[in-house]
Amino acid sequence: MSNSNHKPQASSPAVEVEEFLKTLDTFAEPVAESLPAGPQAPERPALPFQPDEDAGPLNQALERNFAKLLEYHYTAHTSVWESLAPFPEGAFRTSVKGLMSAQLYAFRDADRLRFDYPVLLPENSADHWRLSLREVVDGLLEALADKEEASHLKRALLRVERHIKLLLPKKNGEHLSALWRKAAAAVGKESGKDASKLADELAALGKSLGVDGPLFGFTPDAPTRILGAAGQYDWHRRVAAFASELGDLLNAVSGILAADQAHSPEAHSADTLHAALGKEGSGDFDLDAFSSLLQTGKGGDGLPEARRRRIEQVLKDLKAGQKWFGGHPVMAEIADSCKGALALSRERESTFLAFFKAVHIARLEVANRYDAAGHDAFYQEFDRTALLPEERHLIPPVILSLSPEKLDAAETGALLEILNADLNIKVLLILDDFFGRPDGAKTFWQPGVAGKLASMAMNLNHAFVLQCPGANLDAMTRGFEDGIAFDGPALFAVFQPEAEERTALPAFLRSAAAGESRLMPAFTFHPGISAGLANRLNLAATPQRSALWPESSLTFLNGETEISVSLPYTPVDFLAMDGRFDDHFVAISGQVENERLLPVGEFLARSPETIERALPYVLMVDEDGRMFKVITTRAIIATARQLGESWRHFQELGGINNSFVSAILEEELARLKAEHQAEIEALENNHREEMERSLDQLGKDVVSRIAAGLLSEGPMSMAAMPVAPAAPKPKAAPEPQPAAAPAETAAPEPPAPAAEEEESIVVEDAYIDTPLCTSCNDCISLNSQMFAYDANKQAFVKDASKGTFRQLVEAAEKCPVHIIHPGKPVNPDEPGLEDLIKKAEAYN
Amino acid sequence: MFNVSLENLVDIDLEQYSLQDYQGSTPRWCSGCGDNAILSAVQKLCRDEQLPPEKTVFVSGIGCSSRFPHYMKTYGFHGLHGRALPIAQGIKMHRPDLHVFVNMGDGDCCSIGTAHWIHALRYNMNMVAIMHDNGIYGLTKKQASPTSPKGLVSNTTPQGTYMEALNPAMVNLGVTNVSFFAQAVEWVPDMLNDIISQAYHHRGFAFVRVLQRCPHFTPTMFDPLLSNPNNILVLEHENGIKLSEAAGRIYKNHESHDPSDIQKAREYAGRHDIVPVGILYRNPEVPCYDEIRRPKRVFTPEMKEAVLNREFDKFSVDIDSSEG
Amino acid sequence: MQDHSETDTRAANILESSGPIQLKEHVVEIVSDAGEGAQTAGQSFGAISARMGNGVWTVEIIPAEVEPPPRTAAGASGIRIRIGSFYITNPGNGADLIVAFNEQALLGRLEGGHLKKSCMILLENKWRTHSNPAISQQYIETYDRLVGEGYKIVELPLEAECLKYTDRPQRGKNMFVLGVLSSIYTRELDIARKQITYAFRKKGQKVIDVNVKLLEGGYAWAQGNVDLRYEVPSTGNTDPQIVTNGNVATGLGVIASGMDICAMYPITPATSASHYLSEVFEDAGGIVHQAEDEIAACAFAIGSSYAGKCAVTITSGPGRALKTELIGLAVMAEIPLVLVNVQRGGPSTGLPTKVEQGDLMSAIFGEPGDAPKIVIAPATIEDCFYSVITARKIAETFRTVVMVLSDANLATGQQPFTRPSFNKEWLAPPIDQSPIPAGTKPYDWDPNTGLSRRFIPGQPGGMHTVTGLAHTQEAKVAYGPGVNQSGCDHRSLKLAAFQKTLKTPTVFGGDEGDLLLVGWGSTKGSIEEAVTNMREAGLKVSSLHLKFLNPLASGIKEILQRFKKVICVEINYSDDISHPMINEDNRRYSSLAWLLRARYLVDVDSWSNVQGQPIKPGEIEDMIRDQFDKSGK
Repeated sequence: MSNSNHKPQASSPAVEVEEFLKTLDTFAEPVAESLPAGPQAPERPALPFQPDEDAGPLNQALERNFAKLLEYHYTAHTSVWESLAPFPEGAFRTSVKGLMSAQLYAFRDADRLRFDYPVLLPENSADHWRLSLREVVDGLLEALADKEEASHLKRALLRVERHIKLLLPKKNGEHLSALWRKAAAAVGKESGKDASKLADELAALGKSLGVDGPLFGFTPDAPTRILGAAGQYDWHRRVAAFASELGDLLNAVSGILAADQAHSPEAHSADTLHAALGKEGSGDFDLDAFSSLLQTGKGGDGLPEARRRRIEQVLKDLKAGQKWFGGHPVMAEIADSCKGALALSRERESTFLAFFKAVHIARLEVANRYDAAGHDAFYQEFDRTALLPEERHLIPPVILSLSPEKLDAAETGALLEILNADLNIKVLLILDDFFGRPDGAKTFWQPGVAGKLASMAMNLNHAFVLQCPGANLDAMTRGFEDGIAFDGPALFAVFQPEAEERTALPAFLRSAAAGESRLMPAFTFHPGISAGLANRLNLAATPQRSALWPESSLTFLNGETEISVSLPYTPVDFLAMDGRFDDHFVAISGQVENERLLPVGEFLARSPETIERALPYVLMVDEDGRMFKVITTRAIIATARQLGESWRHFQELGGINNSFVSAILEEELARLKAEHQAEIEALENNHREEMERSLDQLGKDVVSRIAAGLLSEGPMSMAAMPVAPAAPKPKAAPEPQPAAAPAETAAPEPPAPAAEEEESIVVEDAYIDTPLCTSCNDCISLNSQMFAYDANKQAFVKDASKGTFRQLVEAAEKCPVHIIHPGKPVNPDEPGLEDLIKKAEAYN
Repeated sequence: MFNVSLENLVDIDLEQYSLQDYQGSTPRWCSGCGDNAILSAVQKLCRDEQLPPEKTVFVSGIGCSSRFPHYMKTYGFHGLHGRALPIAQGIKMHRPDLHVFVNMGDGDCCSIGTAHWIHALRYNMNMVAIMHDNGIYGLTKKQASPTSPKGLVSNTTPQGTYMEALNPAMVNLGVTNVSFFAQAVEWVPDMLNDIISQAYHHRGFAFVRVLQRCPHFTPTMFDPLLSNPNNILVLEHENGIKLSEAAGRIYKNHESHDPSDIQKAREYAGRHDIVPVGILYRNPEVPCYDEIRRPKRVFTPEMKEAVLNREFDKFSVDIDSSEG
Repeated sequence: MQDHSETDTRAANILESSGPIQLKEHVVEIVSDAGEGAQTAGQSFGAISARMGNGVWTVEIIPAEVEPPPRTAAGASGIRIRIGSFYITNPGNGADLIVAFNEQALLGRLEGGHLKKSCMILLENKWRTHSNPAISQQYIETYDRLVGEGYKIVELPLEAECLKYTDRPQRGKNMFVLGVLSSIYTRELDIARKQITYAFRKKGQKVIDVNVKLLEGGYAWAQGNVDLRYEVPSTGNTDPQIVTNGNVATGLGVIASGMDICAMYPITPATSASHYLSEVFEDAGGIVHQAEDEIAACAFAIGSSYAGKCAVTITSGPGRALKTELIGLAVMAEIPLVLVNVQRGGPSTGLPTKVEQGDLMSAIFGEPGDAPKIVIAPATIEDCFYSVITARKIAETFRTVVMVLSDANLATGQQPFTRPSFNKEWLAPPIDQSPIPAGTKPYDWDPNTGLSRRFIPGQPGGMHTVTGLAHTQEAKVAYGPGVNQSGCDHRSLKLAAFQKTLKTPTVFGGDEGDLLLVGWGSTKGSIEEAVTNMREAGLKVSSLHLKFLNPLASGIKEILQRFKKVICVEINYSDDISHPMINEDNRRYSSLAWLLRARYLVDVDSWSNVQGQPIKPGEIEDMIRDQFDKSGK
């Protein structure tokens, strides 16, 4: 099955959901009719709408109550409701419970949504370590795409998918194969006629999948399971290559002992010979004679005792480590506290240090490169710095799954230690809330510390960090993969809320919405990437990351007309659906119009003085699809601003809309503009001056020409042309000298030009063009005191005085590549020099 | 975290090999013999590559050139006339961890061992083969060899050889699977070193023909090349050899030749007016017989036992075990 | 040759007999044109018999050409199966029953003297009505002639019957024949079915089904139409057994010895050993390298031996000759090497597919100079397996060449033998890469044994250059007078030391007596069968079989001297002393006889031929009788 078409869409998960909703619609409509089980979809309009009624009274009511509403906005005092002038019936709600953000209206029916959960963690699959059920079903649909006769199966498959999802809350973690069987039977039963045939066909399709494993819904423990699977898969892959090397190494090391054994007295015993020669063969031999013959024969010495002991120890350590790299790799135990994880990791490291020490020594032993003099001391001190990066990678990580409640002071300290240490601990922090009320006081709910651990960890610049909503499965799993591959600690902060009464949103959507609203920007931070902070910090998984808020368009009905508006999704939208903040929201019919009523996006963007008397609102929809403008309080706006600022902080770190860069850019732009302007001005000035000068000259020329004409009567003289003044004659001219001493320089031998003289230096000392020497031994064998080889075995004149000039010349004559230059004789008394010097000339 | 690998530490511990570590017995070649130059080029290669002497094997045939292994302080196999290549193949097939070099003379390679030469090219096993080509049988005292120039007077051809010399370059470049062919002259150390080094780094069978002077029997054979360096055409390329400054002063006749171009290589090989020197052809993509054939894993006694038992089952008279 | 009529009278009684006739042994042949599957049928029949507990020997009858012309005596292809209620060691004498797919192939066997006078003939009769009158006439003439000569012939409507089961009867009749034989020899049909399933396991279920039907068809047809029932009781041996031919056993031995490289060049009849190895060697980490020629194959093996574990090269006589120089090199450089020579008829290219023991002298003395090496000759198919294991072990232990002299008789013969039980000591040890202690010499010859420890490339401190030239203990080339003498001494010493480990071979028969037959290699079964029979007839004849031909074990001279006459029985050339040109001054003896005469100064006679056939026990018996007749006993 291919999942290539399910590659992450870096855009918002909401968009993805929307797309799949469409997919579902194309297949699901006919199915829905024949679905007796499952909640009946209520009759509803396709789009949210504003009641088609007279807005006049509504606007008047708003106008009348505006001051009160402003008071509410500033104080969040619900007591203001008591003194409000009445709104038309149904146009005003003091509670927003049951309303839904307009942007999420399309996804209101959780049962009909197809998204990344349930997720399958395949066992024994070489290609995948996780797949969503949706991908599995889509794979089948794709396979059936061209088969006309299978169209009934296509629909039925989607129903199997839904059945599995319906089964899952009770069967979380059960194997796909089992769930599939049950769902196939159920879908078969629903179809009525040919029930068993359809069930069989579906069951067969299930068997054809080729993957199986536990299936998990969007539950709080899902990230832990997924991380475990990622770790297992990753380690399994890395281990595969090493396991085979380890096998070879073990073989080779035991081979050293076996090869030695072959020279031993035992190997030469009659018994061993009997076995070695084969049953039939040995009958022909006098085995005792054979044995004693070999005992007397020279076998050479055996292994030195120290080496034997070392190899035996290495073998023992290697074998002890082999269990980690056998058929089923032992993945990390999951620790339950930071302290526990630290202890476990340190213990494991010492185990593996001993193992890898053995691996290193084994490699050296096999290559005969173990040198006791140096290596003994080195291996005494063997610590983690001696491990190669790929070896550190072979130490299975300790995985720690942490809930924020457990983070007391001691644990927080230990967590910091983990994140700052060279230990392979991967911490998974599962968040289900961002808000806390300090000490249970009745103060406003504030974003808690737990939600900020990821950005804190990032600032340590040592650990890999992932933060993302669990709903973004792709971002999360890619983060897990990278974090596990990272050689060091990692923190994964995942927003994975439980389904809760206080909010109308299903947990999955709530998680996705947290990402959209910038409450939980999705990012990874990889300290191993060296090229700049902006590369280390990756915000790609946050939707519309260049924007402050992600915008989406909303179409609704205003009376009979469809209206499309572009809406940002802000923390205000998100908080409006969190029951705990119900007191901070009040809903008025969507039809209300007032220029001081501002959409939240605009409100947040405006300068403070322009919004003093304005009210911010978000759009929400009730169960019937009716739209409301939901006004909020200053406290909520302040939180939104704070979250917006945090997000801006991320953006800047990630290189998006960086204020420093912007400032520089602006400055630079201004400077360039100014320069440009100055240049233009300069050019203009120049031009003007030039013009003026030309005009001036022209004027003068005209005057002088007239004058000349007047004086000479003849045709215009060239001299009169405006030319540059003639250069003065050079003063240091050598002309006078030749005239001074012509006789002296008339020597018969003209001096050679200087350049030529440089090329043919007259050689005084003998030398050899060493780089061209072919090491033929000719000169060396002539006189090995005079000539010698250098470190490259090429000849040079070591000492010309250690022989005669005659030898030098002879060597030069003999040298096959003519690179010996005899120079001039050292000893002027050597006989026959005249002749030799003549001969030498040819080689100098 | 410190990115320190153990291998580095170990290398620091161990002494570096020097040229002396590769020098065996003192060569007994004639004074002025070109084999000396090849020997020192090869020793330099070993030192530069720091080849562990115990992991290096020189295989030779018979002849002056084939004394080569004795002058190395590595493992050596001074075998039979013409048979160096198959011996080297047996070594390499069994022991991929060994660096295998082959030294042959022109008689060794192009006459008595021709079949092995052709097939060695086709097998393309990982090793370096150096043919010391002096165009004469030296050890047996001056008989014509296949590469003797036409008309060469020798003890078996007192009227001069009758036929044109065999062109080893053309033969090499005509055999299926040829993957590296270079030609060198021993009297230009820079180029010789460069070529031998590139041959060593080649994946596959690297064949280097080195023109080599025999000062005793054919002292003037290469005079046209020595006295007129322009008779040598140096083939340069970024993927081939680069002329050093020193050699460039003497060898002014050079052209750029891309060693991946076999057609062009064959053209150069066929030239009679000049002697091409450099890497004529190189293709590291040619499959290597040793890499294809060699077992991919280590076989334990248990694995061998399992195969034997499977085979015994196959031939078993007992029906049940033969079907098991 | 005398006709043994023991079974003749029984044959005559067949028709009257009610139950199956109990036999001690029987020789069956199936002959056909090439490609008609006679060999598959015969091998299956042998295997079925082995599975029923019989001693079995099968040997293929192979024409020299790949596709000889059909219906010719020389082109006959086929198989001989000898089954018995005792351990069968040789192909036996004349055939007791022959199935012929055409009368020309039958004539080939008859005229070659391979059939007993009493041989029962089952003959395909489609030729009788052949559209070509020349053919039908040939058939009728032959049939009538043989009947006239007293042969009992059962005509088989082979292809006609097969048409009932397949539309390609010419390809299916072999299995029909297997069915017929299974009926005649009261084989268990179920075992036969399983055997077919096994034989065609690679061809798929459809092919298996058709062949089983043909088998059952042949069985049923014979039940109704052939009134012959034999029973050859089991030997009673219940050890687990395997059946292979000698070349497969050699291949198995190569794997079992732990050798990793087999280098070879195709040559009959050795090649099938390499075929088998090529099929399975890689599964055990081995490589079969088919080199460009025999010389390269040997060089390749020596190269890999030098660099690590001992390697093997498998060849036949002409190939061995080409390897001569390299064998000398391995001896000189003391590089272990196992060379398997599956001998064929010589000289020159000689008789590629036929049996001869012609390479003994060249094995021992074939190299220039003194090249001492060990020569072993397996005598049975089981021996082929174990000899390779032994050869590897002693080649490495003694740093020398070990030649294993098999022959075409063993190569193609099949015989069940006790299933070997793996022993890890068989395997070569891992390649020694430990450092060589300073001061150790590459030829650190022990003065008493000549043994020294081999340095293998990769061993630090052991760097040296091996050479085929005379060399010192340091492996330095040296031509001084003492150097070569010393080298030769020490290499020879190894052989002497090895010789001390050999047990004196056991005499078969009596420790002393009138006549001792001495043999080596594949003739053992026939010789000992003849000796057994003649001793039963009261003659004081014994035999001695030599497995180690070089060096010869101690004590042989004493054995020879205890007999009044010693004759070497071999399949290689010797002059016939009765020829007027031949006398004791110029007679050329058979190979082993030369050796024994030279070494022991005893009078050893030769009885040998080079007809390319395995020696039959009956022929030896005739010779023994002649000897006793001559000496008047």
